[in-house]
Amino acid sequence: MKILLAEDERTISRLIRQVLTNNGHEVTWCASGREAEELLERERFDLVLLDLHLADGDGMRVVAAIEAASEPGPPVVLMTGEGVLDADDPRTRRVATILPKPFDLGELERAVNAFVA
Amino acid sequence: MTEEWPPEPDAETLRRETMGAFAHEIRTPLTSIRMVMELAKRSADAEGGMRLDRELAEMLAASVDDLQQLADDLQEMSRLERGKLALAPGPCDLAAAVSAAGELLGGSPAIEGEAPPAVEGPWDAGRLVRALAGLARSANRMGDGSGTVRLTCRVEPGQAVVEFASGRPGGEERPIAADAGFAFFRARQLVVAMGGSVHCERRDRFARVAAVLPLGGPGGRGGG
Repeated sequence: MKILLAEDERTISRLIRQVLTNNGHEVTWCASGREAEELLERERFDLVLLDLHLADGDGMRVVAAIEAASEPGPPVVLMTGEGVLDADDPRTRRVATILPKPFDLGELERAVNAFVA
Repeated sequence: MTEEWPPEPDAETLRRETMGAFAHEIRTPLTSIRMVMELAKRSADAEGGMRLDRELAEMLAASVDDLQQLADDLQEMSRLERGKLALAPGPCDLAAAVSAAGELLGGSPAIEGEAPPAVEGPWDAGRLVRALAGLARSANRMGDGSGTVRLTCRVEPGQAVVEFASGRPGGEERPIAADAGFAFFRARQLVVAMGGSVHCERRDRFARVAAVLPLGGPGGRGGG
């Protein structure tokens, strides 16, 4: 799968890239929401792995950009340092999967593999 | 201060947001540690022996250092709140403190702007440096995240004001919440412990954070 990873924490992004690349995925990494939006405009991705708190603000802006696009966008796995979000949190309805930190490799792989065709 | 700032959150809200920011921030190094340990375990399972390459070991060490720093900061906050920690009042030179804060940040974010006025105050130099670095980092994080914050400093009657701003003013007012980072709440407490106050305005892709530092008190003298 072609995956866009938007995560501003270098160690975590480095580890995620290593794991997903080893699993045969093509990973494009960016550290800001602005870069993520630009990449989504230019390229097609099968999945977006998105950190909720990016260096330049709320990751939900990227979700909003995907929602506003004329064509259906890729599913979003939202990684969040806020832990498990409340069931009635409206953000849970706007993304495919919530992946609360700290997650382990198995949880990451399960979240990604759910979208492998 | 003569200018208007959004009202400060009440003490209970501040406490809740501080704890929220702390909980949020420890999850990042914890995630790294969990992933590195599992990579090491997979490597051991695959090859029949433990192998942790240098890069992974360094990532692990950096994450443990981050956790240690967070624990130290939280303990310091607790001791300050209980009055169990004595500050080391100045005189402290504001320009030197701002410069040291920039060095501490290592350019992340970079601080741009005019040199602070020549002024000394009765501030704990080491803690002021860390507080200013934390406020600059928070401004960048809540603002446009460009990696550069604008510095303005001024002297008013009885106080010095150090302000960091990021992004272009405008847009809707937004709450501070967890986006500020734990560093903001820790910096705020340090400034308050020195007799000052911290003010923050946050809007879409814009933030400005100011420390108001008293010039009076033993050892302090204003100028500029």
